[in-house]
Amino acid sequence: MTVTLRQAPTPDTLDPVSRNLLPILRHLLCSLQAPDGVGWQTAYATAAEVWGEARGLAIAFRAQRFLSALLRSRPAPLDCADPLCPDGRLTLTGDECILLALLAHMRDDEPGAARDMLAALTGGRVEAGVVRAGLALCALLEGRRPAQGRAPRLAVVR
Amino acid sequence: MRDLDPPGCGARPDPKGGHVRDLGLAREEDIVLAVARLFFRSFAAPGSEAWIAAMAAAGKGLGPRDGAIVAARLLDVIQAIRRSRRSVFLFNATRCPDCSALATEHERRLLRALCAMRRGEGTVARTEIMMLCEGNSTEAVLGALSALGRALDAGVVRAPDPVPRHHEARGLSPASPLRKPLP
Repeated sequence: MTVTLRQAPTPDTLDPVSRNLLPILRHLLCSLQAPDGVGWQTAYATAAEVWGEARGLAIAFRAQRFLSALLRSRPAPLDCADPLCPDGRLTLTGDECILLALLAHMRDDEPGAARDMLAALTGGRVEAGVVRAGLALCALLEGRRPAQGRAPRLAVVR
Repeated sequence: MRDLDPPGCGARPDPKGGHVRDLGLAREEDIVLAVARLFFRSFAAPGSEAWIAAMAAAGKGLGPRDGAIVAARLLDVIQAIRRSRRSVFLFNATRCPDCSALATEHERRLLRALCAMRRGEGTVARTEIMMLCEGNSTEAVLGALSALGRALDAGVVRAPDPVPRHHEARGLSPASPLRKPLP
């Protein structure tokens, strides 16, 4: 299966959640694919800075589990930019585009499109463990569109 | 000091060490020791990727949300010790049942300091950390240890969570080990 992206996005054009998630995914991918690195510490620290300790660390933890499952289901490493390279911050690799699109579709509850993206990343294999891990991660993240029909948040004003 | 039986794997036990059971650790402190050992292994042998097992062990033992917080704060403690301490930190392997039942002198001091910190015995904690850091600066270690103790006492994990939507409940369950009263 071939997935063609109409336009190659750059980190600037990503939605805010994907933009925040990208460096965390990159640090984790670098650590998982080159175990001598210590980028995983930066990934956890960055996530805690972005989303707060309770939520951010849980996001980083689930992102690591998702990426581990994804890498196990792929015959080849994922192509990702060096998160510490200034030039790399301005571009997205093809694999990163598909990975972020996969997560965006999962966040928006679009299973068909998410399945296509996952198949594109894994050479057609859609494994339940990867889907479960991805959904667990996306459960902690906002969707791209504002949810419809959700009651407005109320707060007590004293 | 006491004689320790050599473990089945053939490793030589730390002569200044002792049995983990003698430390009288609570369940969550036992988990902290196991997670710490995996972090130590990750630093000693980065190719082992033991940090993945460390995060998984914390999540399994304390729940995914609280486990991640405890693991991150424990990592802060270990990093502070690494910056302060000059000598090698001896630790036992988690995978060997015989070795993991023993605590090295350094593990013992770390866990004693944590337990003392949680009980509010700051002097004991400070002494243990001073010994562990070989007389070097202890402030960063003590600060990180205090934060870890607070996480274990659920002071932080009870904070409201601003997550906008959930597909599963992530709060602490009443049976969570982190809510156990201190002895």
